[in-house]
Order: sequence, then C-alpha cells, then structure tokens
Amino acid sequence: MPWYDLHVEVQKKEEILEMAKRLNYSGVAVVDKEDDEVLDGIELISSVLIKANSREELKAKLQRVRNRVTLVLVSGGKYEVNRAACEDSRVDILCHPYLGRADPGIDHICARAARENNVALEINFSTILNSPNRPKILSQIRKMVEICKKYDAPVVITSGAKNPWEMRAARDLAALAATLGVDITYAIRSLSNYAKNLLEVNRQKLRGDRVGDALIVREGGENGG
Amino acid sequence: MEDRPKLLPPSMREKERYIVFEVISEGNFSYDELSRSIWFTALTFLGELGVSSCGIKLIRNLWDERSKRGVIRCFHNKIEEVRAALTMIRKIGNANVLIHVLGVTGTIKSARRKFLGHYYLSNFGGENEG
Repeated sequence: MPWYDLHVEVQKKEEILEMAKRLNYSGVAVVDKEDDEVLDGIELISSVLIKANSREELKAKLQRVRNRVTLVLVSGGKYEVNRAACEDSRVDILCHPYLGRADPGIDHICARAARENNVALEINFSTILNSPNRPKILSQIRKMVEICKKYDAPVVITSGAKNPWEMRAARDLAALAATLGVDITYAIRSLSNYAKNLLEVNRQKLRGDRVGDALIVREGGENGG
Repeated sequence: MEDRPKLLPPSMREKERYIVFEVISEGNFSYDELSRSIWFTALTFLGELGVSSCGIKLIRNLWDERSKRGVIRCFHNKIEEVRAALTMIRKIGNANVLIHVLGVTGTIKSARRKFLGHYYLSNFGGENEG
C-alpha cells in the first residue's frame, strides 16, 4: 500500500528520506518546497504552508501560490482564517484549526463548506505530542472529528513533524485517529489512496490537463476523447 | 485440590493479539528503560483504567537486542488504543526514539516466523519458505 505523509516541516532532505524509508512511506509533502522530486523511490511533494491573519491576506497569498505547488496547506487557529480556508476550493488542507484555542475551531458552517470545497481538516500529530495540555487538545480534536463526520467533511491525519523524530508510521497515525473517533478504514484510506488521488488530481490541474474537479482535457480527440 | 482455577473454556478466555514493534533510536538504551518507558507512556496516555482493560504485557524473552524488535501482548479489541499509546513515546533515557509497529499477529509462533526471523522445521520443504 502506498503511504503518504502530507505535512512535514523538516528542512533537511536527507533526514526526511532516511526516516521515510524506515517507516515505509512512498511520499512525503515537504513544506516550503518548490518542485516535486523523487529521491531513492520516495516522492518529495512540493507544498506551501500559508500563515495568514485575515481573509484578505489568505486570499492574496493563495493567488500567488496556487499555480506553483502541488499541495497548499493553511495554518489554522484563528476562526476567521479557518472559515475562509474552508470556503476556498484552492486550499487542500486546513492544518490544526484547533490550535491555541479552547474550542475545536470549526463549526457546522465551516464543515459544510469544507465538504463542498473538498478541503481536508487536519489532525496534526506534532501538536498532540508537544501539547502542554494533552487532554484538552485531544478533546478538541475529538469534537472536530465529530463535526466533520456529521457533515461528511474530509479528515486527514499527518505528522506535522518539525524534526524527523516526530514522524510516525502511517498505520500508527491511523490508530491514533481511530482512538479519536475517525473510522479506522477511513483513516487508513485517507493516508494512502485518498492522498494519492488528491496529489494526482492536483498535478493534472497544474499541468493544465484538468479543469475543475470533473473535466479532463485530452489531446487529439479523434476517438472522441 | 490444586490451588488455582481450572483453565476456562475458550469462549471465556481473553482473546489476545501480539503487536510486534521495532524501536528506531539514535542512542543506546537497556530493555528495562524501554519497558519502563512503555508502561509510563501507556499509563499517562490511557490512564490506569484504560490500561487495566487493555491487558498489556511486554514479552521479555522475545526482545531482540540486535534488531531492536520486541513483542507486546494485548486484548484483541484494544489494539488501536495500544498502538496509539506507542506513538506517544519520544524518548527513552536520553535517546530520541520512535516505535514503529511492524504488524499484529494472533500467535507468538507466527510473530516469530513473520517478524523476528525465527525459522521452524515445518517451513522447509513447503512453498512458504521463510
């Protein structure tokens, strides 16, 4: 099974590669990376983590970045940013919407918008591991998962590692998500097949082979495409 | 009369699974430190109540010092909880570590055969060598 970690903040490529290989990953999305690469059989996926303070700032940054990288992540935490990210289909993943607050950071409006725009809400392993108050952050995430389940919004679990020792094997992350209320089969798929599809669709869009989520552009057209 | 209860009927026994894990580390540590760390993390993450219903047991004589692989027994309906607790381990002594679960098996024998590189005579001559 191909496994993907869609959010890693380590900057040294060798460290990521070594750990990813030991943990059986086939792809890792590295934050602030310019272009896609395949090294030692492991895909390093280009992605950007947008930090914004307001809706306007987020929109401006999205405009600048969307046509350059495969994966666009938004650093959440502020309700205004969370809501704006959920309502924008250019965003792929909204990272840790619960960070630095006392509530889950999203509500039914955000969840419904996230479902419509296909924005995945992230459970960030690093924030759990480094949290000074783990019970609080776990209960926030549990509430977030509950809301997402109700409105069918996509959930994804990533390591969000700031150093290679914060990375974990994909199946273990799925187990953690399962204890927080995510369906285990869904958690496993979101780390493998769903992630793979998402990357494939995004690459097609970048190449101009695809318009929107449904239309695929084909060359020739003699056989009716 | 022998001073212990009779072996329970199979339907009343606990159904157990064996989690085989590998420790990835940058420094050295002893088995005692590892076991203390696993118990401590399990207790902080799952709590006394949670651990009591997981039936966790570290199997000491299956710890392989060379390949840093070991086995934890737990009840079959608590596997995800135990795996989640294992992800929370970040340090043993002063060494950075992470625990990578290799797989879950139903018997110690298959855990040995699949993950610990033990060979049985019955493996030879059949199709499934190794």
